[in-house]
Amino acid sequence: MDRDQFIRQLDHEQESLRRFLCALCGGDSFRADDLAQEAMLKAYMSFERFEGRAKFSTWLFRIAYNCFYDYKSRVMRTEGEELSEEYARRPDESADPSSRFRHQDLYLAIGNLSEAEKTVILLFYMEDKSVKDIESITGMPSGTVRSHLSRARQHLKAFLENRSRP
Amino acid sequence: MKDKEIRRFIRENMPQVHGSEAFMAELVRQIGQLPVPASLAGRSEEEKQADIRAIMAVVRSIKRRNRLTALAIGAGAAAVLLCIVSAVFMVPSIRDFVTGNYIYIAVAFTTAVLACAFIVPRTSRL
Repeated sequence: MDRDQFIRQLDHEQESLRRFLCALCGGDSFRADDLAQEAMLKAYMSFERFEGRAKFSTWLFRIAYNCFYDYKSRVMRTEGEELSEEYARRPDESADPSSRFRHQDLYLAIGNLSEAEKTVILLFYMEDKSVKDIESITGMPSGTVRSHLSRARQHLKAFLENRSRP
Repeated sequence: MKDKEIRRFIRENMPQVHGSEAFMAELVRQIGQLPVPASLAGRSEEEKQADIRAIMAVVRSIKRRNRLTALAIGAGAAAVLLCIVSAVFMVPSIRDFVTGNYIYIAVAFTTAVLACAFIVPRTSRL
């Protein structure tokens, strides 16, 4: 693969990657774009580590997920402690307001989930990734992915049922 | 409630991504400022193997040249030594000179060897 082919691959993946990061960042599309850009530049500089065993998109999502986790750790270190549960459920206040309110339902639905459950459910339902791909992206064993998926599914079912009640 | 409904809910409410062209343009600009990694230089596996073979051939030729040089220097040194020893034993005036000045001769010999050791690697070219 040469540089131009690599850029074409990135172009093909950028939309789903940015969408996934945007959902993880609670609707903060600017932060998501920064993280996506960081992940893509890292992928470019370390392409020799791509062994071709996983799909290119899986490899790219893994780098992006690590970037997101590094970002979260940095925020935790600078801001001290985690948000209380009440605030953690809310969408990110710093996010682009139009984007935040447009997709309020999704953020409310997944707001109560843990970071890992949120990641797994977004990858599975929003990005159509298989359990095997999710294993490669998150580094979690297959059983853990399945249990996160099951818990998140139960939670979403309850949320949707409550929502549909008059 | 089925999986299908959860999928539909997430699909209907997922964030929409805008500005893909601007995002890619900025990314390409940033990539343009970075060096092209060797893994993305567009060289095929055959080309890489050919480069490796060429380097190995140069290494082999250097080793062969060094071996031949060492043999030539060894043979030359043995011939010179033979001549000197013969001269010392066969010509009485030389034998007397060597016996009287062997310290100076040893120092001169050592200096000559060290000078060769320093000069020869500097003149070596690939």
